[in-house]
Amino acid sequence: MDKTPQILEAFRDFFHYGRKEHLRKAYIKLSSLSDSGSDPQSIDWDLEEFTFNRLFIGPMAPLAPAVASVYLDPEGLIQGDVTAEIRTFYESIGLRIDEIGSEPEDSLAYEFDACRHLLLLASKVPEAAEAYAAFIKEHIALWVPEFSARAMEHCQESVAVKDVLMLLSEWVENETGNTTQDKEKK
Amino acid sequence: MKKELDKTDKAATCPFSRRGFLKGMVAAGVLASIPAGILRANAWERIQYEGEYDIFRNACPRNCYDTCSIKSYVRNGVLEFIEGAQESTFTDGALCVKGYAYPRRVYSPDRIKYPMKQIGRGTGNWKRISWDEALTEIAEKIIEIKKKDGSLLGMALDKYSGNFGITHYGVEGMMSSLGYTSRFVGTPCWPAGIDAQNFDMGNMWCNDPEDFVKAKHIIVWGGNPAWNSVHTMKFIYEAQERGAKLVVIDPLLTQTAAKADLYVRVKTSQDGVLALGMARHIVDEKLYDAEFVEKYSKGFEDFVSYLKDNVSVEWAAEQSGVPAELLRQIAEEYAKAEPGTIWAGYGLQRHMNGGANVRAIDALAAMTGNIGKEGGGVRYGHLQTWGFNYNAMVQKQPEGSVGYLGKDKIVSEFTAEQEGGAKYADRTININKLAESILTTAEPPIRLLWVACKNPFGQDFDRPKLQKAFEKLEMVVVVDQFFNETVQNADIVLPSTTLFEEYTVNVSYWHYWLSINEKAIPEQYEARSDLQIGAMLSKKMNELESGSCTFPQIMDTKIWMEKEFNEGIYKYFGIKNWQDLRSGPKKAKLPSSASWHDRKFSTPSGKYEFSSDLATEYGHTKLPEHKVRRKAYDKFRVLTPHTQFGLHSQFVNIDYMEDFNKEPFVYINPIAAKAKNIADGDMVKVFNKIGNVTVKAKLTDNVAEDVILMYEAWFRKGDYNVQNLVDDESSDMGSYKTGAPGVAIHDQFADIAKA
Repeated sequence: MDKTPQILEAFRDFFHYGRKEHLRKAYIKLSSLSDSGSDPQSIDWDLEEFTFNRLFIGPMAPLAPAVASVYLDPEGLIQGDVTAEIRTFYESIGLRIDEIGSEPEDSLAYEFDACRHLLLLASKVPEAAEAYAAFIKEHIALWVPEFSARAMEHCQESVAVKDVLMLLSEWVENETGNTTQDKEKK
Repeated sequence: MKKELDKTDKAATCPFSRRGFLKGMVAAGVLASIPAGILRANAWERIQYEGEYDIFRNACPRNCYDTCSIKSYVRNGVLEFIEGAQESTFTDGALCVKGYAYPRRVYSPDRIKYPMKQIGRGTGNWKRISWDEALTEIAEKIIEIKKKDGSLLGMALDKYSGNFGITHYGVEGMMSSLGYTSRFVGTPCWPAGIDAQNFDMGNMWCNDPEDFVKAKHIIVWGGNPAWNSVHTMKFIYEAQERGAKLVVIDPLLTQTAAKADLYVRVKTSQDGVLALGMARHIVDEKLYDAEFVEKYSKGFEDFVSYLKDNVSVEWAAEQSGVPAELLRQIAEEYAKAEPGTIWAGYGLQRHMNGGANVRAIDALAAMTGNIGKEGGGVRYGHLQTWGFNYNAMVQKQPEGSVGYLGKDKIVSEFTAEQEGGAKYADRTININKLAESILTTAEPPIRLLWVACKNPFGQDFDRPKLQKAFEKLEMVVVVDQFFNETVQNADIVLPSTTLFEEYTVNVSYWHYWLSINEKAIPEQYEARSDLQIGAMLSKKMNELESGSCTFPQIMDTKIWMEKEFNEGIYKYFGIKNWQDLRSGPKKAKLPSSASWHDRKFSTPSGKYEFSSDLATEYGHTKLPEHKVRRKAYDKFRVLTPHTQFGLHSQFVNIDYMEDFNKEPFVYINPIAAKAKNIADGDMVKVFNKIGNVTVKAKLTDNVAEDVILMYEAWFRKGDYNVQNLVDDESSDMGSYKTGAPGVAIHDQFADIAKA
């Protein structure tokens, strides 16, 4: 069985809630799906939460905001063209966030949720696979590596956040390769 | 490996979105079979994200003369751009450089997004918490304080002008609704001048700034509108076009001075001496307005006697640093102008003799008969348009609340005194002595500090002492939009909305326009307005202890906004109801553009009072006499005025502002720098009895040899903070109308050396 939807769920949950219990749960899930990672008992989850917030949430200016616009918009504007494109894309696949305009749709967690949605849909709607591949290749792959590298520069003390960022980079790399191969096969 | 994106990649961010992959499938209902995620299924039939802009009315709520009326353009729930409202002849379709950056501010990745709790104040270790968790923790602390002390005086509010939307007085209301608390009162901004004008004229009331065009001679004295009131400059330029002369009197060669016909460098805080010297010359030359002083003033003869006995032009010239010939020239030109006007800036009253400076300048305007004239006047500020209900502010304490038995009454320049008639009162403490008061206030001590609309670490005085003071507090709650040094020293930070995310109403203390501020976009992330926070806290308090908070649990800011209007406001602005403001801001229906146009003053005598008994009641001289300035306590005078690309600590952190204003500097005269072996660009240390600041030096003769200049600002990168050099010495006036004296912000001294 393809583990990818579960991996996507785990990535999504890791980045969405920002509290140690969610970080821990998502980390355990990712570790088991990828056969890697450290013993969650040995990890200082408070420290992971502090690191997570320093990198992605705040209240200090986050060191590596998990929003595509920051990396892709020519001026780094959130809720600019990049967010609008992603919002439109979600619309085309039948999704939306709770309250339009309250948060950027191109946040990492939402993008993983959209990926997961497409993969699940792909078994019923072949075009969803194409949409998934395009989303990874033409969007996710353009910003997540830079985001991940930026975050990695600031998480020396972390175990879980660092592991997840590495898994994320590998996953994007693999997924980009896979989707390209899939296309070539066709 | 870091992927370098070229422009082509970026342009091709999301081409797939145009393909409409799945329309047919989704329409067939396949979506329902997919397990729900964090995104929700869209209502497919609805066509969104197309069409025209929704236009909203907003009003800049910053503490700024200009209080711009804004038109906001929103599409798909997103604020795309804003512009100045064209309906206002003051804003006139344009915003300032800071205002245009608002969309960057709203959508900055740096915004505080969620309630957060710091594990160990100052550690930088933050946890995201829910609103419910945050409010529970705060409410439990409030209940604990009441139990421990038998009152809530251990809870204090430190709030000022970070958001001037009228409904934001709901923060004070929230405090009252909890009980009798400690309140930091007064203002760091303009209190000495307010009292001065009240002693002289019975109120602070300036001409409509749009009537600068009618002036034949303009003196901008101790202010820098080219940076801090850009909208007024167009009226000054127009006056210049019509032949008026612009004179700028300032210790600094400011951008406004650069645009003047004549720049007069005065020694810092010797503005009053200069004004008195000018007055003496006007008396000597009999250039005063005999009719005005006779009919409309009280005590002119005494003032003349004072001048003749105590002030000579030569003495004033020597004291002020303005050559006698020049002093005579500017006095004559001003006195002969028909009309002449003076803009008295706030800088010249941030001194131990600041109120005295303003009184001397007022006297100059009065004796020349310029008060009450269109295009004339001595312009400082006004509160004519502030007649709102203050519904959000006026809340009742819960039954059985115990408070302070002293006679403290909350006095604020903006609002009427809070009526109570109750046995108990809030405990009032001078806002300008925040650090000292936290350290010394006892019975009960301040245990819980609520900070809203203010960044005390960026703006309050004696930062090292403030750090110590915060260590004494048991809990610090800060409501803010961005992380700053105050948030750094908080236990809990609550995210607040920007002006575009709430309803309120705004007026200016300078111009005469009224604007509503509509909610144009949703609250970002979990940000809430001050009012919503009060409402949520009220709900939580009552859950934990029924009847412990009276604050209305209204979450809709529009309802709060509506409650601020009254018939008086409608009549004053010539509108039927607030909805009329949806079509644009409205200007007050003024009988004249001149304040005091009927020359009926609000003083006890009804006349302009050169001689004020009221002033003596507050410990000042009866006449506008010379008051000796603060004695230097170090080698150089340190001036810390407002910066161009920010307002205190607001805006400076926005990336668009950083493009122009990357880093702070200390500005020093080349001659002084040479003596200290400092070259342009050197890192230097500025130090005094308070603390020190390490910063890069810039050499310029825009400052005098004995002055060093550092703009008051907050940079998100680095620890630059001028409050490490400013003590909390009081200015002479302010207690009468604002509840506490101001601060001698510009009476500070320091030495400088290469770092």
